[in-house]
Amino acid sequence: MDRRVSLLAALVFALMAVLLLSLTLGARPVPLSMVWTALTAFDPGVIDHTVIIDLRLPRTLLGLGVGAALGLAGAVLQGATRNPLADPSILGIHAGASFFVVLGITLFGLTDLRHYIWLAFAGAALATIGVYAVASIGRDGPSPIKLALAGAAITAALTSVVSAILLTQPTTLDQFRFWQVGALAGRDMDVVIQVAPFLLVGIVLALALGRTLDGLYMDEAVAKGLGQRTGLGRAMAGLAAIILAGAATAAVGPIAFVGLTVPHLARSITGPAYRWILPFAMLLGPILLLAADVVGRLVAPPGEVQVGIVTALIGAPFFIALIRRRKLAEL
Amino acid sequence: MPFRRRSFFWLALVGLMLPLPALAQPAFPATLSHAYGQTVIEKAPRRIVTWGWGNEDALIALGVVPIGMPFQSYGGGEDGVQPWVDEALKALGGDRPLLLDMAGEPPIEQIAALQPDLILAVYSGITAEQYALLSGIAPTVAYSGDAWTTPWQDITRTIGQAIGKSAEAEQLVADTAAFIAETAAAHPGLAGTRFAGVNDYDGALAVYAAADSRVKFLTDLGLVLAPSVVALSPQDGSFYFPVSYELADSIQSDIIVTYAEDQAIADAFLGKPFIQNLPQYRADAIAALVGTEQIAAVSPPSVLSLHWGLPTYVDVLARAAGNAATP
Repeated sequence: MDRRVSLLAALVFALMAVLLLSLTLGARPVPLSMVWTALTAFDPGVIDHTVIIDLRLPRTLLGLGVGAALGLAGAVLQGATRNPLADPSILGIHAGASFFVVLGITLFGLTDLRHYIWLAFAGAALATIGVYAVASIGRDGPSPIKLALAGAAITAALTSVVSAILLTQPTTLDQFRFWQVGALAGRDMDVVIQVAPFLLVGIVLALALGRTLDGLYMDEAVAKGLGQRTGLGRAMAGLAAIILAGAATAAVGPIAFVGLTVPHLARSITGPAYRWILPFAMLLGPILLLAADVVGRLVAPPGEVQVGIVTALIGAPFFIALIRRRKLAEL
Repeated sequence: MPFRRRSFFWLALVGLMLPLPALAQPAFPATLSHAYGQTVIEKAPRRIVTWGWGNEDALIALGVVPIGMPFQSYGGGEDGVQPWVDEALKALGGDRPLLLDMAGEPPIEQIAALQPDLILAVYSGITAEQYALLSGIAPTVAYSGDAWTTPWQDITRTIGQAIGKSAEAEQLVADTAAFIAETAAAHPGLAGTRFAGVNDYDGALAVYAAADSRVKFLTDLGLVLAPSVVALSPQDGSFYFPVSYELADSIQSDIIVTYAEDQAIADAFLGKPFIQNLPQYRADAIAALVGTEQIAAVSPPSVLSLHWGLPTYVDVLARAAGNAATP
């Protein structure tokens, strides 16, 4: 049997272990038996039960979906753009989402996370489409380098508008600050239910792209010679990335390094074939994100550290180590 | 009777502005110490600019209209003028102050163009660099101690000294303290009530620590900061500290005081399951002060804003204290 199959099975077990940890560990010590009764015989009058059901269950489910989405989105983007540093921030997805959320707070006085979701989603989609449109200008179409450059340019433009609004509107800054850091805490089941359909569609779409990405990853001419429709493949990859990263960012705010690091980690296990990288990234994403969230809950009592800060703290040195070890050459 | 109280206040204010007998020593030159050294004011200032928060309140309460003051986006609405400042300006008459762009750093060119002879930033967070720039335009009085912590009594006294109205400032502080004491005395249930100031912030509960000006003011009203909050507070002098939603019930107190910019935010906070399970919520002992103007009037209060905001604040607090389960 392929070594990768048994590794994949091991990751499934690791993910289940992390899910269990995320339900049982937190700022409040709750005995394991109480976690079980909370899940099987919920009593809204028992504080331990509400901690499990109202706080830990939604953030665990969100960590699962968002982690998988970010891992897959990063892998799809890296494959489709042939850019080892591609992640949701490089195609303008974070900046677009931030821009729309800030507009919503400033122009319409929105304060509810549930409204931010749709704004962030729309912003992510528009920014990505804008990046693709700009990068498509010219004879050679949306080449990896042009995509990265267009993404950087649009990110810079949107980010400066966001800064300008925040500087002149201190109350907007307060509202925006929380969303901007990236946190799984404070999101209730409504948020999970709202983004779940998008995450599921995006995950299915991304997983189906394995062979397409393997084709795109080869030289454009070779891929065409093998009968691949590279334009369609890239469009599907872009759509999957918008749905995944847009929904993830909408739900929890921009989270750095998961989308960037997880595909490299997956690649170091599986080798360069995307039909393997994708399922590994889908499992590694939530493992990393939920582990970071659990760490954030425990390190600063009686408060918590937002998961976006923990992933940046863990992700940055981890990524540097990865680059030094693998030299990214296998891309 | 807010209206009668306010009228009484204005009578007292007019009384303050009547000529006073000569003081024992001349008011000028006046020397004021603050975080960035000493400022000497040679003669009675005529063109005063305020910067920060609540400085214009004390100045206007002492009967002087600044030529420039910051646009207050918090509690100042579209016009940038808080309602108690607006009322007092209308009562005093004369030219309205120019509103300074409050976003970020002091607008140096805008301030210089006003040609002020005194800049008051007694309650502010100006940096050493900003102080240097401002004092290049006119004598500038910065905060003493830490940024954004000067109590209203000190703001009033310092500004009184800077404009040669120390005695009036002293009287204003005494009258305001009496007004607070009288208002609190009308609600005897407040004295000794143990409170925790709590808000929803950054995915956790933000609990106001002893250093916070809102907490200090609540203790002025006779309430007591709950021992559970004191025990959890970090020792670094922060204004607030985060508490995980999971540990909401570790905040033990008679009442919870919370501040919400509008009713929707208040309802969202009070609707959270971890709030609804708290004994304070079940006893209906959560005092929610709603609206930016109301919040601005008491956090921190000024000699002007108190008269505007205190009656509502005390009503909200007294209702919660009345419902608090007796320990």
